[in-house]
This record gives sequence, structure tokens and C-alpha cells, in this order.
Amino acid sequence: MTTDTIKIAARDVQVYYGDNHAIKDVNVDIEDKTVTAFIGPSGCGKSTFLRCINRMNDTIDVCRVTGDIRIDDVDIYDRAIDPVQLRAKVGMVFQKPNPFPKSIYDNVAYGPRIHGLARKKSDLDDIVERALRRGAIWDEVKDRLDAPGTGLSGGQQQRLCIARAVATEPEVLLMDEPCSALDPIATAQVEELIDELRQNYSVVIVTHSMQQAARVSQKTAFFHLGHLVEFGETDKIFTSPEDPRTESYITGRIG
Amino acid sequence: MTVTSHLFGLPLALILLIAVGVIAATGYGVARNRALSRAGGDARGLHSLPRYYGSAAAMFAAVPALGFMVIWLLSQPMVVQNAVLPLIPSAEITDAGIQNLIVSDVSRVAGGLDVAMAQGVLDNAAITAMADDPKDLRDTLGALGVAFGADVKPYVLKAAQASRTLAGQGRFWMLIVVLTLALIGAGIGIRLADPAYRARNVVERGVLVLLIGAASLAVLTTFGIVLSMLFESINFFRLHDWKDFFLGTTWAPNFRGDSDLSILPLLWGTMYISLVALLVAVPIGLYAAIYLSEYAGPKVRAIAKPLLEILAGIPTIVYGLFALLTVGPFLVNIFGRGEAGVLGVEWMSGATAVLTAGLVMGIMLIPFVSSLSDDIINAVPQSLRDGSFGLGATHSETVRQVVLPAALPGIVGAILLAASRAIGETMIVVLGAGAIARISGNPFEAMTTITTRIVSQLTGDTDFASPETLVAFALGLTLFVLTLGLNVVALYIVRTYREQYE
Ligand SMILES: Nc1ncnc2c1ncn2[C@@H]1O[C@H](COP(=O)(O)OP(=O)(O)OP(=O)(O)O)[C@@H](O)[C@H]1O
Ligand SMILES: [Mg+2]
Repeated sequence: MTTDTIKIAARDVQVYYGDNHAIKDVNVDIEDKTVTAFIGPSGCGKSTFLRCINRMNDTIDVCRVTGDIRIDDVDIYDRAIDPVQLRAKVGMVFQKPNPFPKSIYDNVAYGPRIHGLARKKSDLDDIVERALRRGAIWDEVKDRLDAPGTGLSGGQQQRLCIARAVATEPEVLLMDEPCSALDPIATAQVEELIDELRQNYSVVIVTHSMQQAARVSQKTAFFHLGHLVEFGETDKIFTSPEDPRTESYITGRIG
Repeated sequence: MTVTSHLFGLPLALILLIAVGVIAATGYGVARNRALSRAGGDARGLHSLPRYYGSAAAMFAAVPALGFMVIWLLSQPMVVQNAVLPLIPSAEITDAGIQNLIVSDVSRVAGGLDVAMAQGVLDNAAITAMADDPKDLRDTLGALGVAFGADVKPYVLKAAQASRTLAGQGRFWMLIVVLTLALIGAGIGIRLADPAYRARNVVERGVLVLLIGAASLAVLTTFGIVLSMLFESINFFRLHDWKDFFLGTTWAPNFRGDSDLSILPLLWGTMYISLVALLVAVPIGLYAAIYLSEYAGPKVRAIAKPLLEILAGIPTIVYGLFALLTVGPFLVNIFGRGEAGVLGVEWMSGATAVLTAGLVMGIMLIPFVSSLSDDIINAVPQSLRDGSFGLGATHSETVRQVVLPAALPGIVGAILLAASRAIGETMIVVLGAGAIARISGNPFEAMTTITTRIVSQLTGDTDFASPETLVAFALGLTLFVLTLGLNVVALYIVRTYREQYE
């Protein structure tokens, strides 16, 4: 592994929510054009660490992040970095679907409009259609793009949010349990999308499904009680983990 | 048989209340113990807990008896009044107003005599003695605090005496019936106290009836208010052409009669001042709410929110003073006084104007709009903001394009509520807007509103049969319909948006 393929590099990251030390001494290198899975028991800090990567933790008053996170070798916590611009580059799909109270079309067009990605209405239409197709939801909504996004089912809302996130063409896509509300068919479609995104982007996905992690990811990170316990090739983590905690988790003994 | 209105120095109603209470309490104890003993002293053999048997008996004893008492107390004065009406010589009753005066005199004399008897100033013999010539009665009753404008006439005294007798008889029968009802109710409750009896369900239904009663009382009161306004308004429209009222353009009441009473100038003033107020209150209130809920840190919020709430707690009359003494002269200084003024213009001559009242009313509404909007904005889920930030939107883009649209129905509702407050506001316009009814687009002129005209038509020497007074009810009814319509529209908007976004 050479340094030029490393997209995100984290060093000694600590996150505190008030007095709660949620992330402890995390060091990790996330490669470009790779899918990295974060696994671990509930409350171990997967979402928290994910939110560090696009500085979403800035919006939480009590949250404090120390350490060093670099994307393309640029410190994203540097004063010169504008978190707003960072988030345009590092997209995010949240654990709970959160469509805006707008039409399906406007939901997807939101990011491209803000960042001025489309010159003409027809460009925007193309972007929206492409994003909805990649989100595996185009066929279901193509006849009702003007209907409110909040009127969709939970799984459809989640795919809408995925489409919304990819519409801005981020370089890194952070996905927090994107399939937790999806049926097997939609899950398969999203996994296909992740695989496709990997051609150009770096994808980080939090998941509670070992099978999913094994299917979609090349690298896997196992978190436990705020520590990054083990990080490596997915195959290796699932076949011969080094740490006993990893082994008990993937064999179902802690969870 | 008659009963005086006070027994042992206590009002009869209070004594009855205590008596019924005692009966109900006894019924409670007896029914409870009876149910228990019939279950062999084991509460598990009962359908309900023992206290429910007691409660049911107490309920049976108290509710019908007290309900009957309330109805009796409310209706007795009316019945008595109608019964003594024939005693008044028909020659004295020249019109409905005079009849009302005589009737109220009769009831005051009757009340005065009761007081005099209770204090031992007069006795039955003395009253009978002055039946034909009750000259001294005015002074006697005056000394007891019951003042009369003229000497008491013999027929009034006669009618008063008759009504006292009737009232006494009425009280006697009330006493009998109430106590009987209470005893029968308690008896039924006790008899029913059997282990198989579903006392708990009965009490449950009783509670339900109580709650429904409270709710319908509120609704009925509203209906009563509307009805009474409606009747007086109908009286008004008998005396005054409705077309002139709704479509005429002059408001010039004249207490010698033949007035121009048209609502349009008042409605115009009301709308104009409310519009100015909303133009002030909505942007400022909304921006304040956005700042407080989206940007301000906890420390600023902890200070600013209570301050805004203090603003909301200031009585409107104080705002009125502020308008009259501070804002009005300040505006005159800017927009008036010719060369001596700030702008050197002569637009505004007096301190009272649409602008003065509108500005101050706007200030009054700021906390109202901002605290409602603040609640609504805070209710927008954080996950929506996160979603927007996560796509690389700035804070103000997020507020404008996600938070405000999501909060819009609530905000529209808040604005319409503020509008209906502005329309109903009185004190600020009394002091700040002047009293001239006119239709004009100039905000520097004095104008007046529906509310202030209602006040002025009903204060001072008024004759409740003249159109000049009755117009107040028609104005009030129009105001009510207006605010009702506004609230309905607000609800409609809120609901349509909600359907769209939920
Ligand atoms: N907004 C917050 N304020 C305070 N504490 C928080 C906040 N969010 C998370 N935490 C705490 O941080 C710790 C890690 O939470 P996090 O959401 O990262 O867990 P997770 O691994 O994503 O769990 P799950 O699999 O259930 O989503 C938990 O102890 C949690 O209580
Ligand atoms: Mg999580």
C-alpha cells in the first residue's frame, strides 16, 4: 500500500461528548477507490467516528474532537478549511432517513442547486434522473417527481437520501447503516450502487450485518467501546481475526 | 310555609350544600360497609373496590340534588318576577325600558326589606303599617345601604312584599325537594351496594359525564355570547338599514338620533393599523426567532428569551401610553413640524396616527410572533438540518430552504393568530390612533377602529334601545366573524401543508 492511494488518514483521534469519551486513540488509513466497512456493537462509536470525517460533529454543541484527520493530505480540522465545502466533497447518508419536506425532485436537486452544478434546467433534470437511478429508486418515483419525499415508505426514503447524497458527486461517501430499513431487493441494489461508486470514490459504510460487510467491503474496521480494535482486509478480519474481541463479535458472542 | 334567605346567619344555599354533603358522606360510608359486609368482609369478593360503592352512593345522593338546586336558584328570580308583574298598574308601564326599571326597583326593595328584617330595623307589622304610604322607606333602606332615586311607590312595596312571600315559599319547596332527592339518591346507592354491582363502571360513567359537562359548558358559553350579540344585532338592524351599515362610508354617531353608522371606515382603520402592525411584527419577530433558535448560543438564549417574554407581559395600556407619549411625538418630530422637524416636511400634524398605533402594536406583537415561531422552528427535527449540512449547505441556506419551509405552516398559523390579535386590540388604538373615522391611505392621519368605537358607543350615558348603542353589538359581531374567519383560514392552511409534508 502506497501513500498516494490513501484518501483519509486519521491519527490519535479522540471525541468527547461533554465528559463522555466516545472515541479513543483511533488511527486509521482509508484508501481511495475502496469500500471500508465499520462494524461493532451498538454505541461503540461508529457513527461518531463517521461524523468526524465530514465534520458533522461541529453541529453538536457538546462535542469536542482532537487529533488529526487528513483527506488528500489536507488537515480537515485546520482553520483554513471551510466545513461547508468539505461536506460537499464528503457526502453522507444518515442512519435514519431524513428527506426534506420538499418534492422528490427538489430533494435530489437540493445539493446540485446549492453548488451550482447545473447550468440549465435540462442539466438538472439529467443529474436528478441519474442520481435517482443510482439510488435504485428511479422506477418507483419517475411518475411522481413532484410528490413530497416525505410521502415515501421508509425504505424508499432511505434510497432517496442515497440519491440525494450521490447527486452532488462527492469524492467520499459516508453511509451510516444505509440498508437498515431496506428489503433484500433494495439492499442488493444499494450494494450494487456501492460497488459502482467504488470505481471513482472512497466509500465508508457502517453496518450491523456481517454478511453485508463481507459482501461489499474490501477493508473492515472493528470498533469496540470507542477503540478501533482491528482494521484490515475484510477477508482476513472475517476468516482469521487477530483480536479475541473481534472474533467473539463476528461469531456473535458480543453484540 | 316560607323560609327566610338566611338561617342561623348562613345563606340557605350554603346550609343546603352542607346538608347534602353530609348525606352524601353518610351514603358513602354506609354503602361501602354494606358492600363489604355482603361480601363477607373480603374485598376480593366484590366486583369493584369498596370505595367505588361508596363513591357511587355519594354520587347518587349529591348530583341530582345539587343539580336541581342550581336550576331552582337560577330560575326562581325570573319566575317570581313574572308572578308579581300583574301587581304593577299597567298605566305605569309606558315602555319596555320603564318596565325594566320598575321590576329592578321591586327586587331591590324586596332585597332591602330582607336586610332590614334580618337586622331588626323593621318587622312585619311595621311594613304592613306603611303599605299605603311608604315615604319613610327610602330613608330607612338608604341607611342600610340600599339607595333609591325617588320615593318608594305603594305599588312597588306591594309587589316587593308579594315577591318576598313567593320567594320564601319557593325556598321552602326547594329545601324539601333537595333534601328528599339527596336522601332518595343515597338510599338507592346504598341499596345497590351489592358485590355483583359494577360500581366502578358507574363511577367511571359519572366522571365522564362530569368531563363532558365541563366541555359543553365552555362551548355553550361561547354560543351564549354569540347568541346575545346576535339578538342585539338583530335589534340594531331593525332600527338601522343593514345596507347602510355594511356599505355606507360615513361613521358619524349622533346621540340625538339620525346617525350615520357604517362599518367601512372603522373596518378600514382596523385593517390598515393591523397591516402596519404585521409589517413591523412579522419580519422582526421571525428574524428574532430564527436567530434565537438557530444561531444564538445557550447563554444568549438564556438572557434574550426571558426578555422577550417580559415584553409579552406588558399590559397593552402601557403600550398605549408609550404610543401616545413617546412614539407619537417622536414621529411628529420626524414627519411633521415643517422646517423645525427632522425631514422638514409637514406630513404629520398630530401624535395620533395610523403609523403610531401600527408601530406600537407591531412592537407588542413581536414577542408573540417570535415565541410562537421559535417553538415551531425548534420543533423541526435536527435530522433535517443534518441532512442539509451533510450536503454542504451553509447555515443560512439550511434555514431558508429546509427549516423555514418545514416550519411554514406553523409560522403562517402564528402570523394569522397575530393578525387576529391585532384586529381585536383596543387600548393601543384608543390612545395611539385617534378617534376619527375615515377611509384614507395616508398613514400619518388619525383613524379609528372597530374596537375603540365599541368602547365609545357603550360608555357614557347610553340608552340601550337606540341604534347608536346597539350598533356596538353589530360591530362586535362583525369583529367576531372576522377573527373567526381568520382562524378558520389559519387552520385550513396549516392542515393543507401538513397533508403535503407528513
Ligand atoms: N449527540 C450526542 N450527544 C451526546 N452523546 C452522544 C451523542 N451521539 C452519540 N453519543 C454517545 O457516543 C457514544 C457512541 O455513539 P454512536 O452513535 O457513535 O454509536 P454507534 O456505534 O453508531 O451505535 P449504533 O450502532 O447504535 O448506531 C454513545 O455512548 C453515545 O451515547
Ligand atoms: Mg450509529
